[in-house]
Amino acid sequence: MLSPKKVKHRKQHRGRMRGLSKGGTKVNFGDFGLQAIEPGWITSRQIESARVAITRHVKRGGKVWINIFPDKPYTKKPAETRMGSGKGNPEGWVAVVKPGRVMFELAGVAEPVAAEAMRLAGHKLPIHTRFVRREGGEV
Amino acid sequence: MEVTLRAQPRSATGKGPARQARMAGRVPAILYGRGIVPTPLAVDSKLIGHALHTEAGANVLVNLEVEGGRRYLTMVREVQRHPVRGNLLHVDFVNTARDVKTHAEVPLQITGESRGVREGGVIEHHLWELRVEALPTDIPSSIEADISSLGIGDHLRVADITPPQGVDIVSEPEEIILSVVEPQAARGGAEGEGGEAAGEGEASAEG
Repeated sequence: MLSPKKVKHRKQHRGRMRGLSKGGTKVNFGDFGLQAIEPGWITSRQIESARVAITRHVKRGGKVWINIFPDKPYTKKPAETRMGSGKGNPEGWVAVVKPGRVMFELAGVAEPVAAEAMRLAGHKLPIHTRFVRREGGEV
Repeated sequence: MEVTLRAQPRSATGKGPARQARMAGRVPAILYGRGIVPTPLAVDSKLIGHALHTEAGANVLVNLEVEGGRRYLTMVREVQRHPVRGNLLHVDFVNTARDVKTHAEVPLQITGESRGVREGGVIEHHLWELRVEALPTDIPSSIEADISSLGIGDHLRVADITPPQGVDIVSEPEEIILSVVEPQAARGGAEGEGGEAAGEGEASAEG
């Protein structure tokens, strides 16, 4: 699963997810993409699960790009622990995704196959998504 | 391909007036280039939407009639869209002239089925548009590239493209447009299942 090799600080503040994605809102590498239409934390397990769903549906041929990286640690307190005594232990990694972000891209397959692969991948994610195509000659 | 658009000068600038213009069905725009002072404008959102969806694509020539009687021959330089809704937020028009060569990005139209794909290869597309120099009226809507002779391991480069008459390609000749490669499964082994066991030890947040 995806995670940073090394981090400066083990625990981070949760932050806020206001507004829209600043970049990565277009299909840049492949022909088709899966775009987030609401904000959320995507864990490294969810990213991996979506990637596996895409590669399994596409079978052979096709190339997948993952445009998000889980570089934010999230923490969790152990079960049945009283509140207080500081912040919990690092539990995993998440990518902060805002609306508009193209999270996965796919090339080298027909559009119906890509659409179905992206639908399956979208079901692995905790946010609403939609299937997008590369923009043609228009802007 | 030419279209005519009416535009109103925009006296108030900034996000407030720009949002009001969008609410009223107009798109904030700016006109600049060739000896004119940059002028903030507003154009009708439906009409500019239609203008950008002609067969000329993004390289449509726009006859801009600015209120007050001035006319400019322009091209669309940049378009900003809402990342989720996709509606137009802002348009840049650059003033041009019929007798002056200009630069433009022209989409590539890939034709034919590559020999490598028939043998099981996959096309990796790297470059989708070519930068060309031509008179505004000579800019093609797309440039065709035939890939039927490409086998696995072959590349199509910018130098392999023959531009239409009156059009010069400005992009680097050695730049690769697309490659025909072996499929990912053949290169990387069982990639679909490999990741789960491999990543176990890496996910600790220890700095």
